[in-house]
Amino acid sequence: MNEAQLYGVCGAGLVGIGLYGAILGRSTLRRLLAFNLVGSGVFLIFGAIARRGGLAGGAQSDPVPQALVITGLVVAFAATALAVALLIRLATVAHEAASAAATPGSTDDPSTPATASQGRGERGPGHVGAGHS
Amino acid sequence: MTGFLLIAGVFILLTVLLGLVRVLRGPGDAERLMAVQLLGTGGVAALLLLGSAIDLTATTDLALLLALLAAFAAIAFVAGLGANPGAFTAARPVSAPSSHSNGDSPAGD
Amino acid sequence: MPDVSLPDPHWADLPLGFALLVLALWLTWTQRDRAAVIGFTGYGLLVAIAWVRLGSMDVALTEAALGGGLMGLLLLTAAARLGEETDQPAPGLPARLSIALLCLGVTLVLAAVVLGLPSPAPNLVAPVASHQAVTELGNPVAAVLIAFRAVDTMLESVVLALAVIVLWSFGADRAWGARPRALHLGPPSPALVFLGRLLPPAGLIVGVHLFWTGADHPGGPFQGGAVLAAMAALLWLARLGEPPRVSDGLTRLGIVVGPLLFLLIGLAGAVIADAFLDYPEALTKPLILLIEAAKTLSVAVALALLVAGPPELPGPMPPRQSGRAAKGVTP
Repeated sequence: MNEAQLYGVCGAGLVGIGLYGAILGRSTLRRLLAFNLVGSGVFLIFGAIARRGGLAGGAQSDPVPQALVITGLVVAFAATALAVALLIRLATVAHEAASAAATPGSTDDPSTPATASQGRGERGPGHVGAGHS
Repeated sequence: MTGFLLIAGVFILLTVLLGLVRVLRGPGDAERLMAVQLLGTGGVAALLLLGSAIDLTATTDLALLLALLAAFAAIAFVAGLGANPGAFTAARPVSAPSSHSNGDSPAGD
Repeated sequence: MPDVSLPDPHWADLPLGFALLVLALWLTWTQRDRAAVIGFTGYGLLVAIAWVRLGSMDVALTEAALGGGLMGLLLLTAAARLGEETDQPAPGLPARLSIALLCLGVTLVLAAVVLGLPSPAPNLVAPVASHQAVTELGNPVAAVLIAFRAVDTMLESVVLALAVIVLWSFGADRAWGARPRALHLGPPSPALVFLGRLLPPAGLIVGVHLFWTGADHPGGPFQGGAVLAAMAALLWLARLGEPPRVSDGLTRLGIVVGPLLFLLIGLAGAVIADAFLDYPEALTKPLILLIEAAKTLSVAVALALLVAGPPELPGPMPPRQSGRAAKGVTP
């Protein structure tokens, strides 16, 4: 078994592990990691194919799949950053909803027009006590 | 000479892979992080040895990059500790939480 | 390239591949999120070495720059802010078993495909090599990225700009116009501030070097831009600077200048040269250099902003240690 086949099989294994983790991960962050494992496995399979093609064509590696993998890596990173931002936003919204539900007469309800109009300010006056201590 | 460099590079790579045991077993996150740092340092050494053995100059660039970015995981980890001081020894969360967690609300800040 | 095969002993590959699989299994099944994220940064390092063994130095550099630097920063800060989430209720054993079997099936099919690839492997090495002289680039991967598959690369830089727009739209309405604060994790330690002063000058040189050497050797705009973005994120994390406001015009220009220049030169190529994204023969090298420089800048700005997160108002951190917070909105 040469290194192209070995890393290709390794990539196939990573896709399987990542799929399982993405479906049944313990937490949302863990599912995101598993999603990245799937991507990494697919890229490794690409690399194995590029290696075979490169060796057949007299180079270290076929440049076309390499270029595709490079663009793919950058896009996968962008997708991960978006998912992370979505997770943090979701946690924040859930926290705000929970604290609003815990204190029904709360003055720092984030959806009141008074605070919503503070669009461009660094620090909205209604937001200072959002932690409701 | 080439043979010696190759053998040394592969030996370092295998040694570093042994350090993975510390990543897997822990017991704390700091130990895991130090093992990852060892992985980075050993990876740099292995790349330089293998690269000079097979005369592949681009591995020098890669080693430079790894050395430059090696500290990033550590600083992110430590900065995260500063943001969340209690989490370093955080106990395992219970697997069956109550329906609406209002008992642990003071932990928010 | 004189020697075709890497004369390394092959028995370094088997432990490396095995370690990748073990690490992947571990970070799927381990109990705590942050431990898994730390393991994932180590995984990125190992994958970069695997790419060296596959002979793809360009990909190895990209993987090291993104997976080693920015990804660790992004995920570790996210783990610190999210806290440890409690386990989601796992489905019953039959469901888990059938999912595991299906995933195993996917793996087996993929492995069979990889092992059964046609033996004289089809490749595009010769076509790239024969046309590479036109671009005056010594690096075939750079020639593919900037000339032969220029449409892909242009769309990819547009995707990065779109990703920043989508990320910004995740911010709360009232925070629009504020600064991104995902990297505000309390007061920085003196060691972090020292590193924030020490590392960026060296990182700047390495980033520009990677961009410049990319014409003839492994490297290029993506790798250089990722290093520059990592340095910017380090400055922000050490609080030596602040991420720009989302309403900042110069920042927005920095995001779009790469794709815009690429598109304009491509459109001009439809008139001056033969086709869309075709470069006039005499100006090929200067145009490519111009596009790559603009793209490095745009990639650096976009990646740094992606790590910095959506705009937020200064205030308390999002909830930590509050188990089911992330799932509270879905009944």
